[in-house]
Amino acid sequence: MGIFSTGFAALTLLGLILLKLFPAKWRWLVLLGLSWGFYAFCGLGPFAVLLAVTGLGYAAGRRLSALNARLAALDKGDKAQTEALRGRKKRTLALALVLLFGALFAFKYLSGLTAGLDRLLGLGWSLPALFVPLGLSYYCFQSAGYMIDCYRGGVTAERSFPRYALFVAFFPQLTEGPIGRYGDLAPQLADPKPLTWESAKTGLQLILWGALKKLVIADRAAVVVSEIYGNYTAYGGVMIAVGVLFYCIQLYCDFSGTIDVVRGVAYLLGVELAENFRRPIFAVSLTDYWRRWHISLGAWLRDYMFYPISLSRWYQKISRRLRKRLGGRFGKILPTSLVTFLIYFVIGVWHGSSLKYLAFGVYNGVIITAGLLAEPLFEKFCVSRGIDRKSRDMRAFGMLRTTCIVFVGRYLTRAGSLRAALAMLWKTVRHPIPSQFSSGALFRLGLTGMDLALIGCGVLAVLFVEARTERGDDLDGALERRRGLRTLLTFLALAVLLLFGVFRGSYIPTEMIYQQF
Amino acid sequence: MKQTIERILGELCPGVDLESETLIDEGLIDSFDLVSLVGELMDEFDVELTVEDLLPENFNSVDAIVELIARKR
Amino acid sequence: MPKRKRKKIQPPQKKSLWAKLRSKRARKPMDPARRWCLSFGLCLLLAVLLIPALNLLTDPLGAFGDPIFHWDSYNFTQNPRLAKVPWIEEHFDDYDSYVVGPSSTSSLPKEDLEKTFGGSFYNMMSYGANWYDIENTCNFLLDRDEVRTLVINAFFSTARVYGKTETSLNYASHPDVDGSNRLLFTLRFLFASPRYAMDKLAALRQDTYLQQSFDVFDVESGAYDKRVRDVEPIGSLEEYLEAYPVFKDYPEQTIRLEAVEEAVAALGRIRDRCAAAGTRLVVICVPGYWENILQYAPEDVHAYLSGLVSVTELWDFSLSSASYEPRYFYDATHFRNDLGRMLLARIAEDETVWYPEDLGTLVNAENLEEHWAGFYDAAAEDLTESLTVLMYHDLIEREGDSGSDVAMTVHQFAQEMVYLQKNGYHTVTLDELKAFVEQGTPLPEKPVLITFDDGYLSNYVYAYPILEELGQHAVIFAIGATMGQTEHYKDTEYPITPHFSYEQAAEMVAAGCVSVQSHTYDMHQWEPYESGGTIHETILRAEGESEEDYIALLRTDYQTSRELLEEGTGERQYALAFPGGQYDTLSQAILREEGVELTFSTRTGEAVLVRGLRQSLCAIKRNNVARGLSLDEFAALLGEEN
Repeated sequence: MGIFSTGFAALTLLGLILLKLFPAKWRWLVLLGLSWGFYAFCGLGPFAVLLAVTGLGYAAGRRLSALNARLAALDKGDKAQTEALRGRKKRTLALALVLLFGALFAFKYLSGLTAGLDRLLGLGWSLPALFVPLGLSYYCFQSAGYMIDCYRGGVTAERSFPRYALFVAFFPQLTEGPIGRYGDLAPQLADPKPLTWESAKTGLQLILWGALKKLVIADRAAVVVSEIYGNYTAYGGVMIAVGVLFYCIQLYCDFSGTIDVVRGVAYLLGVELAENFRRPIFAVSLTDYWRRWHISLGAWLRDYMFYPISLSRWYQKISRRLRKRLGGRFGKILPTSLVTFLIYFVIGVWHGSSLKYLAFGVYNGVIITAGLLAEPLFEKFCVSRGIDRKSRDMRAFGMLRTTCIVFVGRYLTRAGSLRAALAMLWKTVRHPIPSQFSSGALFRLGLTGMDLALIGCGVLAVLFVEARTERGDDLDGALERRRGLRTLLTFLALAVLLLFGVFRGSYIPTEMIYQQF
Repeated sequence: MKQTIERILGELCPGVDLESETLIDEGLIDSFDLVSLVGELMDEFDVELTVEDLLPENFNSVDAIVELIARKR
Repeated sequence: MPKRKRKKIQPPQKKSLWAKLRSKRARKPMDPARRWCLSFGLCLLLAVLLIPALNLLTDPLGAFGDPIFHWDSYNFTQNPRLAKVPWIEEHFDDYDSYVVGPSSTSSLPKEDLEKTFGGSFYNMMSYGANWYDIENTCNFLLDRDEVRTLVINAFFSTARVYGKTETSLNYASHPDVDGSNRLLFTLRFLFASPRYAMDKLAALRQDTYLQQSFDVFDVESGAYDKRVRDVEPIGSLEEYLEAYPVFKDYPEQTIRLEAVEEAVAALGRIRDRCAAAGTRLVVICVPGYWENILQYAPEDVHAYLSGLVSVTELWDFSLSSASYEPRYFYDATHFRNDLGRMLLARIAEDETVWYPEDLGTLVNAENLEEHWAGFYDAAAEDLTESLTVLMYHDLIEREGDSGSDVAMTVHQFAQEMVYLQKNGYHTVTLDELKAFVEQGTPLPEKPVLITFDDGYLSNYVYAYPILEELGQHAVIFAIGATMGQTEHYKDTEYPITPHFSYEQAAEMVAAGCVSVQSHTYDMHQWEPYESGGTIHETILRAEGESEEDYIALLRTDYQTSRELLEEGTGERQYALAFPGGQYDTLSQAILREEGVELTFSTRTGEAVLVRGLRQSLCAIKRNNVARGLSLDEFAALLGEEN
């Protein structure tokens, strides 16, 4: 059951009614009931996995917090005891993380890996593919974050198992993220805010906007994308680039639209989820882009991987040595860069266990490192030419450059294999065949002119809204002063959604791209 | 100590506004710079900083960093 | 702001209730979030109502009588079960007999049903009908109309399942037929996906004279519109299998008939109702492609047939030599209208129509076992005849008399005619070709057809005497506009190769050795010589010409050609050679409507005619006889091996 299904809408409606009916202190239980019901409805096997992961997180959290409490109660001088307790904490966390990521690995990558080995070595044996529980990556990462927070003492473990279970399984965010932090989420889940006109407005606006992006734009663009990526040999470079452009549109509208709906639903239920996208189109550098795209994953990797690794004692030792040996800027940057590589590798693996994702990680890591290395040169260049790096033109240049870099990266993530991605890139450069585009191949990709016009208008609308928001304009406030226009826009948006989005006839809804990740 | 920190910061992120109270929140120092900064601080002042210390409020201004180092010594 | 001002002017005691309310609202503005939510709700309601409005107005599935477009053919195509019902309810006066069944029923042509059974037939077939649909439809018809004859197609596929098999709105039935809830029905179609409506609006813009995939029904007969299928040129088997790969590798599987009992019970009830109403009931099991028939489990087929004949007698056409001829089918269960015509002729024992001898048996309880014993005995038979059609143009006395490529010497022509005669070839007539296809009359040994294009005077001066002397026959396709012109091209100053006149044509026809047919009246123009509007060098639609104008022009052109030739020669007109050999489906279909039964192309190769299949007379292949051809080469052209 996806987020854009009648079942999910019914679940939300049921949730709203039940939240209204039940007294405040039972509301969190209503949410847990609905969340578990939703997940169990999607399959009992996955539900068992969810329960097991919840149990693991709960037990590990309790144990870590208990150890923290004992540490705090300890006499400051008792070094031996402190060390012993710290060691136990570390071992507890390590065991829990191994179990957690072991499960994630087993469900998502093991069969693929054995199949790959089989192909490579000819073992004649591989594991059958297991079911991949819906949203497994999301709730595993969320649980891991919670355990690490408990370890660090930032949060005190939840005492009540059902309350903790709700944190893991809260249904709007269970399948598509964002990856929540216990510190932000738990207090809200414990006491969901009652529905007010204000929260209803925010929630409904988010849902409407998100659904438009996903159902009207992304699902249409998907038709072009699968045609071109699927038959890239039949197209020249220009058409392939068009396909990649559509993929960028599809990916952003699909993912951000879904998250908007998730946040809108959560709003209605009285829970405010963190933003997951901050207008990535306006990123001025690749680093900036990754800060704006899938924020919750980026923040997770930063807080639970990047910092701990780069600040760990052993890594500090290595980097000190590197700095001494290499010296200069390169020596300073290299140690941190190496961790960056690792992070992008994990981002790649998050998407899937194929060689192309590895290439995707390397691609991002190399560009970011190169950017850091070139920074002083660029600075010098700008100073010598008297270019103000904060000027509008330079920002625009930065956006254009970032867009191009991201664009090339998108060849990798959607192509069938690394080889296909490279072939597509090669064609784009060497065999553009622009005549194919000018002879109207765009209209033979499975979409009518009407569909293409809808995508075009939709993309313009998204760009307009995001540009105004990026500038800091209060669009909602501006429209509040023009109520007639606002009502007209609301009506138009709903009409477009109902006529061109919700009741898809000849469209097979593409499974949401991020669902099984 | 404050001058030293300002020097390190100036080297790491040229052009950063040292008077700012929102170095982290505004993204003036990104995660990459932060890690380098912490490394240099540890070398310079011989303190041990851990992940637990990487809270925005500890790095949002030069004064906050001074306070953090003082506390850790 | 203005509201406040007014309030100050008005003394408070004079306030009406409305003003009070207004001032109250003015003082306490509504929470903007609340106002937004309310307007959102309103907009949502209005937007949701757009869908039923759209569905009601466009009526993409024919549930609401299609008030604006009245595009029945489209609606039938979307859902014949549904859209035919309101249509026939309005037209009960025009029909008194019906044929019911799955889509293969469509290939029983209305005019042949009427020839066989009398009355005025309407085809009530629907996609994938089983006996549940059949009985509902029969009951609906018997309830509402005085039915003279009811023909049921009981093909095996109808007994696979029983009951509603609806998978989408395209298969939903009408409440008048299946007695379903009218309110639910209305709601379902009101809130159908707007995609249906948009598809219809898109199709509206693409509508053409001939049917396309979205409007395949002929509304007046209730059957598929076969204008395109029926003019599709069909010749050799190899080409056919290439065009219809389904027959090439037919999938292997076993099909079970799960609903034999229900089918027999349903037929029993229908028979009783028909008997009570005085309606003649005819049950037909239509032909299937042999590999499809063999997929049905024999024990099930036997049970089904014996069940049906225990109720009433049955015309079983399912498996015969016709089943082994792929060219009679366009897919495994859909046969061509000409096979439908043959089987109806078989029932009527109509001698004017050829049909295979083993086509169809009237099975009843007595002869069932005998029929079953020979059920699988049918085998392929050769139903075809091949011949070479020779194409000539102008004849000249001596080499160099004409610059034209297509002119050859009289000497060469005469030699070739003598060769034909010496080697036992028989020059056949168009009538003989037609008789072979329609009545199965065998062609003479070594048949060959001689044709001349354009109608040059040399045909009259040189060819006619030679043919007459040798007792041979030829067809001349003459261009109407240039007949009798010997000096100038039409009313220009350009010199023209002389063409014979109507009088000369009449003389040749009267002599019995030449048939003069149409090469169009004036659609073989030559651009440099023409003045005026759209120029047609071939019969095809010119660039930029509207379909409507083109069709009108083609009709007028052919009618003119036909009238002048019939008047001038007294010979019936029923054949045409395409100028330049160019043709398309539309031109073929229009000519068929104008009564052209044989058309000739310039595709080279042997002409292959199929018994019973009239469309094997469409776009017949011809071999051009080039100038300077040696006799050996001529023999090779005739298909002789050295």
